[in-house]
Amino acid sequence: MIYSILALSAFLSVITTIGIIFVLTTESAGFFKEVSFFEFLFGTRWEPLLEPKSFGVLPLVSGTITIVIGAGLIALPIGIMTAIYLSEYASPKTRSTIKPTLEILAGIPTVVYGYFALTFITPLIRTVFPATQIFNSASASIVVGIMILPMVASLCDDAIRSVPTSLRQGGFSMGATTFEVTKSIVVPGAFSGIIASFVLALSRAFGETMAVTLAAGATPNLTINPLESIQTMTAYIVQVSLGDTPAGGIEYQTIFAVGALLFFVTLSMNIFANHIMNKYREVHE
Amino acid sequence: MRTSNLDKRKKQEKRFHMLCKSLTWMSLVVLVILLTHVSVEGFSRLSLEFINSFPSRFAHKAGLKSALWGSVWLMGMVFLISVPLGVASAIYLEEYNSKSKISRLIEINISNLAGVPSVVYGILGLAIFVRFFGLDRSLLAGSMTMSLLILPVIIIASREALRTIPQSIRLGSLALGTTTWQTIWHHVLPPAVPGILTGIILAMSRAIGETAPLIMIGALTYVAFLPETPMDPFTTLPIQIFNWASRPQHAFQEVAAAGIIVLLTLLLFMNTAAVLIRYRAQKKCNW
Amino acid sequence: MPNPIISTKNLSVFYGEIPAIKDCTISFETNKVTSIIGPSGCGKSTLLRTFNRMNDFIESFRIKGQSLFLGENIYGEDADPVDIRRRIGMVFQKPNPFPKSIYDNIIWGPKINGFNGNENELIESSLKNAALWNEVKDRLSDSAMELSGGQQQRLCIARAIAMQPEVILMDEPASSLDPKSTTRIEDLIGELRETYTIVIVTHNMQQAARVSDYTLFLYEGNMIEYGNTKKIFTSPDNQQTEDYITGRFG
Repeated sequence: MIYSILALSAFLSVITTIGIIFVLTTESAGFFKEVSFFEFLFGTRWEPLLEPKSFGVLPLVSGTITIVIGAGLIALPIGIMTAIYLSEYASPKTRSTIKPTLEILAGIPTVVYGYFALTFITPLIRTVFPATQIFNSASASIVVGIMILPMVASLCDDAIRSVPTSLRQGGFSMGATTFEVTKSIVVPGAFSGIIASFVLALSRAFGETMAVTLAAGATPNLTINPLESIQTMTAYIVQVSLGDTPAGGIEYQTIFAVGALLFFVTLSMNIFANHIMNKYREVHE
Repeated sequence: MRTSNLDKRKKQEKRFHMLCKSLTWMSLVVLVILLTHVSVEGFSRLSLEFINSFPSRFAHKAGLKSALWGSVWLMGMVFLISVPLGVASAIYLEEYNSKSKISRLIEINISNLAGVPSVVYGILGLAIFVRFFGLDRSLLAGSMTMSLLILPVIIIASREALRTIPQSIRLGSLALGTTTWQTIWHHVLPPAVPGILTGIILAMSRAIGETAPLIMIGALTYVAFLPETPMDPFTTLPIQIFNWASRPQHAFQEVAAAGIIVLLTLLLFMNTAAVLIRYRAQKKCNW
Repeated sequence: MPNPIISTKNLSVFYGEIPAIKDCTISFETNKVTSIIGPSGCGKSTLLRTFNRMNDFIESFRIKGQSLFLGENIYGEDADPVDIRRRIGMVFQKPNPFPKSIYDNIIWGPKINGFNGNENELIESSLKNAALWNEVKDRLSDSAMELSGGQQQRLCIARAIAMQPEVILMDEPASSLDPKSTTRIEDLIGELRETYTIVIVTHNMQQAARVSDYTLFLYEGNMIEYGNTKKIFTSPDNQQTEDYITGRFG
């Protein structure tokens, strides 16, 4: 009897996944009756609410990708350098200061980061580039980068630490510097773990919502200029919910279509990252 | 072979070392800047009055009351829903059939769910709890949605806690002729409680700061009353902060910062509690 | 002692408060093989690692007295561990080839040090001198991890030789290998002494007797006896030495 209760609880997670897939597909099906796949995926104008309506999702995708790339440019290099410093150079005292710092940064709610982007980062950018709009993707990218940095640092740290010390010792004993040992032996040895951490962090950036909603704007805009206002897929979904959208209409259905695309992309990235992680775990055991 | 490139390499080593060091310490600098900025902006608006008033069109009158109580209500309900479900799932996965194919499948499933963006949970909640179950924009719908969101976190943390209990304890109990459940309830669960508790607190910390899923299910951004039943509409701290921060007037930015200070303080308490629990537990039992 | 290339003077080593080597003064002769014997934990590896500063990586490591290479203090202010490790090579107890090709394993060290001569020649001569060439000459681009234990250890020796060091330190190089590979390594050591000075730590006394010219017996961090290998194993001066050699303890 107790067994069944426990088992049912565990199955809840399966039901959740089924629920997500079910909800996304059935409601999107309604959407795709009106709008073709092609128009959705390749159209360059996103205007679902005002006439003339257009349902090309590329501006939203480009907005999201802009943020992801921007965040990645910050978090990936700094993250891995931090991991290298923590495992190859830092004293235990330094580790015990920096590790909690990273955990705290990771635990700060995203609204706070959105606020920080809006009230500190954007003004800062505007002192250097006065033409920057109040809502811009650069500010949001920076802040999302800070958000995913702890994840990159921590996962890379794990990967680097699992490279056996005997390999490092072999390198040092031949008269190499720490930089040389790290570059030629440690990083290649931890490579797949490092890549997996990158992909997971970028996937997280993909799904980030509140910071970009506050800081990046609500204008679907197919642009690569980081100083302009854009809208991400996630911000769009939130925008529609904040308004009064009647259930069943095509605007309502756009939530599910965009949501489905978002879910599909992040799920693929996560599965890919986990696949790499498992492969590398085998090599080291 | 003895070219004297040693100096060049030593310079390279030094530069690399400095680069890594400065990039690492940047995180601390960023954290300090962020906290300072928020504190400076919001400190002037902090007061008992602030905590005890309802939001208003006027920044100087705006307060956190409804948001704070909304968060409290929501967290309470999320706790009641997610903790039993999460711990029960973890027990099932870890103690019964932990090696079976089905368990592996559920495990993979949970780790995928952990990576799903929170908006998607919001979409799920909107379609199932709000529309299909007809719960409308209530605390109940919100707490059920949030529970689904943090369930993977609780399950993963609880499994870790259960895993640290040595197998010998289980075997010793079973050898006396007890059932698996009796073994779990009397011997495995009690020492795992601190670890599970830590996981729960971490999950709740995550939940308290989440905004997107609640906006999706219709939590309002301007609420001037306190919820009285689980079916009432509500707002939460982060939603209120979001609402204030979205307004262009500088006065509202200050109020937003004050709200952030309250939110971060709450998080500080929760995480300190988690650290203390972990610390005390480690002192008490060393396997 | 005609020609000491490495030596110590009143050397003491501590890990935190725990002494590992106590006031040891000794010289190792050039182009000879010296073995260090003694029971487990007596400080053999520690002594070995004071010569190439591999002890630096241990947090609690402290040193008093001196370790000298060609008369210069290895731990001096101006001493550069990177340079020292280039000139004093090491072979570890468990083979630790890099997860790269055989070719890359050998060429990596020289390349970093600015080697711009003929790579293939260097690799061939190193592998020949490590008695591995015939077994791998057709598969230099294969991963080193595909080799057997004995082959991997000989690869590590080849890799160390490729650096053209002056001294080679060996920390129980054959202890994780099968008897046949052990014999090959021992033969190799015999050949290598022509060109290099070798110090080998071993807990296998027969190996020490077979392979070395001089033997040092350490016990609990103290230098008990040092001398010609033949003499140590046939008529040692010290009673403790004789007890250890005849297997009465350790």
